[in-house]
Amino acid sequence: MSTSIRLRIPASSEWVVLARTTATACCARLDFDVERLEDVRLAVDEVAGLLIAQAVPGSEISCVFTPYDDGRLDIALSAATDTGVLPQTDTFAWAVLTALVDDVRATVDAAELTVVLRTSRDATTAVDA
Amino acid sequence: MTDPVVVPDQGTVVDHVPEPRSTSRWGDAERVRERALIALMADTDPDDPTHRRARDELVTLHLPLVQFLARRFRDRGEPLEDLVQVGTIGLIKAVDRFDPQRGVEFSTYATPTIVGEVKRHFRDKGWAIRVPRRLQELRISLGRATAELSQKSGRAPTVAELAAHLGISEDEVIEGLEGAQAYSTTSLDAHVGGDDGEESPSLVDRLGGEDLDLAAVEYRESLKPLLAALPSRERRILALRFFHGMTQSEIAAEVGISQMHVSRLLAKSLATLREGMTLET
Repeated sequence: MSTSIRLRIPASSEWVVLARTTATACCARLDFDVERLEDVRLAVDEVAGLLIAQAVPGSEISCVFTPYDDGRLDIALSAATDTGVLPQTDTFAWAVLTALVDDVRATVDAAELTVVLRTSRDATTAVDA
Repeated sequence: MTDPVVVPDQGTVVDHVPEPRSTSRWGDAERVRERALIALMADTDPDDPTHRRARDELVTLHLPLVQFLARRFRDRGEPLEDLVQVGTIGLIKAVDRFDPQRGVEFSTYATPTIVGEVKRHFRDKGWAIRVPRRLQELRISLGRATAELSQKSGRAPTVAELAAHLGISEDEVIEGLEGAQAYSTTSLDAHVGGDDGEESPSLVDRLGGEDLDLAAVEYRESLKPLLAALPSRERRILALRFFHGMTQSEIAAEVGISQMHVSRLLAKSLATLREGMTLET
């Protein structure tokens, strides 16, 4: 069983703090140690920065946090985009993301770019295919 | 790679640590020893164990100077232990760069380097967003508690453990962690042409060796100057975290600062790089 927390923020760096704090609260609830927690916060910052750069001006970023009983946490951030382009995976930003969380996935359709972060309380879990 | 100097636990710093040169603890014997060690370092190869031992002893000998200088900056919202720690990094840099030929006393030479490092620490904190004093204090308690609990259990504590240890609510801990990250998002200028220019070759550079291997990174042309503009320590921390896969705690131990400080510097560096990239495109 799991519950999701949903948050919508303006696609602007000044509101990213809310996504970060919500992520922190989820991590705390799952009993993450502070080091992992800080990694998640850095990752949320990074994804938000990536999405803000591509978001349609004046649009919102939707954030869905899903903590699981087994200590896993999924964070999906999406932005309205009209470019329909997946983020490059050979960039520094992507290298940073993959180092911070267990798994990062990006999906895009005509209207929306979504990045899903998966992390977990315990040491790196195998990423299911 | 140069051996890291093991800095002994500082313990409680006594209320008044006088200027080393005027104390009985720093007498002729110490000065003679200091000269001998400096001469020994000058005469031996950096890889020579004798050189390394002399270097370690020289650092240890001058720790009271670091404590004295660090104390000048207390009551500014940073724990004295942290200031002593960063000041010690300055001392190590001074030991490595001291040139006895110049004819100045070592302590005269070391003082500005130590003070510079302490000042840089305050600058790194980058309280650009005004953080209420209560939060700053909370952050300091969190930093201390994190270090203490990590040492006890061998892993970083959880929010619940921090709350129990400090006798505050988990919400307050979360609030404090956010306050801890109140780094500036517009600090791009703050570090361009920073102190690092004249500090060549710095200890971190010599310890370094690792450079961000960016061959595979697409943005490398625009990223390169941004990375170059970061202070060498920040660059090194980024490399250790993202290219060598070290944890924040491992980096903290290697660089000689607290895990919270590492996390703060990482967040700030990434924000700087992000902002630079955005300006670029």
